[in-house]
Amino acid sequence: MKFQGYIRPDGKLGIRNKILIVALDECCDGLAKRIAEGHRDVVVLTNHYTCMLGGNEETFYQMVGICANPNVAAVLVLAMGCGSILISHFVDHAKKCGKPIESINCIEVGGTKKSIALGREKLEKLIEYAQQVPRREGTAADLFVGIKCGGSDTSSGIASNPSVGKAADILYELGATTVAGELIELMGCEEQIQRRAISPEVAADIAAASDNELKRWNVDGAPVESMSIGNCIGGLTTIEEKSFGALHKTGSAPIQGFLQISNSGIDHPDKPGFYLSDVSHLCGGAGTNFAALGVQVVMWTSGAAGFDNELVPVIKVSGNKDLINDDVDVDATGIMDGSDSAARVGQRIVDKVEAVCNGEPTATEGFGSSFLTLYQKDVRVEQLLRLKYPHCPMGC
Amino acid sequence: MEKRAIQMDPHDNVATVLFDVQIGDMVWVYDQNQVLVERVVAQSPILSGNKLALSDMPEKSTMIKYGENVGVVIKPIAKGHLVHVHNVRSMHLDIPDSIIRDIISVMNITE
Repeated sequence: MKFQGYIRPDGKLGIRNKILIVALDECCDGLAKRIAEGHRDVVVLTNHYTCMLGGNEETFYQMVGICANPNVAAVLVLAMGCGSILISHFVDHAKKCGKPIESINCIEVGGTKKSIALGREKLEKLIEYAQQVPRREGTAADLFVGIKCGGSDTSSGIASNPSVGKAADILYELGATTVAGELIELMGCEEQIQRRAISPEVAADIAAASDNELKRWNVDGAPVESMSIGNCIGGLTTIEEKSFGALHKTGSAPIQGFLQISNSGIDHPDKPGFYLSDVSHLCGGAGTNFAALGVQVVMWTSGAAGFDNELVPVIKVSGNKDLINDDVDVDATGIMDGSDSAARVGQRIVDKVEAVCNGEPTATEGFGSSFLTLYQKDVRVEQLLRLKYPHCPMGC
Repeated sequence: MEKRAIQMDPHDNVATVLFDVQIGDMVWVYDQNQVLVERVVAQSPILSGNKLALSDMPEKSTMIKYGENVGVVIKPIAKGHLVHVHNVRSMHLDIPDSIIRDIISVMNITE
């Protein structure tokens, strides 16, 4: 596995070379989009949770993490100027990744029109910088790959998830780092997950995090739908069967650790291997979670959902022959009639990962992307549910 | 044409049929590497995506898929029969009874 990567100041390799415009508050969303207008490879990330820092720390840390993502070359930060998320505070955190970070305080600069003009100037400089970024050859050891599934159908547990699981195992053998989340979808698999953890501490972290997720989504009077009639008619009999089908996409590698995404910060892997994490089961939010963790590319299973992310390309795998369309990158449907196997599809997925890392667009890249949802846990709900976090990465 | 089923793990006592199966059909059970495991005569109609018992499954035993316990048997199941919500339940979080009744009715499960 070899790819041409963009060298970032922290030594990481990007598989894309994007300029990120961060609107620190939703008031700057329009401003950000006007500045980005007409430019390819310029991505706008908007904090729609308002300009207040208190209660929105998880969003703050995610935005910082996204600035540091290897697929980002440089950043322009915008804020209206009246909020409590101070540009200076944000830039102090974001600049630790070593990249050029420009900023505009709209009120200080003199308003929207002047900010747009200044923003366009600054963007041109950042684009020039990005075009000069040196490249070098990378290997699987330079890759951090996300794993996620979309809706479960009959084929997910039989075809697409097992194939991604085989791909995950191949990547593990090659020295890559992989991460999955969606703890809510793993109800019933607790024992197997505990067994895969490399230590009792990791097992305890995962158990605590899973317990939290269960409490968040099973509030009396507002339960989550864990299994639908559609799932059952399609052949799924129990939540365990559904969950193991989902767990299969993670392969069989031991679990190195649990990466937390919380209001005290974002964990990053400290060694290669497979990790579980707080990455949400909510698709848009998961894409942004992956970006914040530093993931460069995602392997994704679904019937046909054309899900992509402007910062982190998403490789789509489907085993559903009734739904599969040209949004899908790797066809696993042959497993459903016995003409193909998870091992062979898994290798094709790894080949596709390599191709996408070398610049090949995914089937939807460039014209069909999800909104960059900045999903965060509500601190009020966390307090009310009295949830305890496995650990506090930033100290709390 | 062969009616195939797939056994996800060698320890599994169920296989998932990949084609609609009628009573009396010979079902060819393959593993994940496309190697033939055995042939079983179906004793129930089984819709594509649903499961066939590979051996007798007594009450209170577990349904094993992916090599793991994924359900508990609530009514004895004989080899070749449909394995689903009418004879297996979750060990952790059951589907509500009313929904089970709906599923049985929609899928026309009569055993």
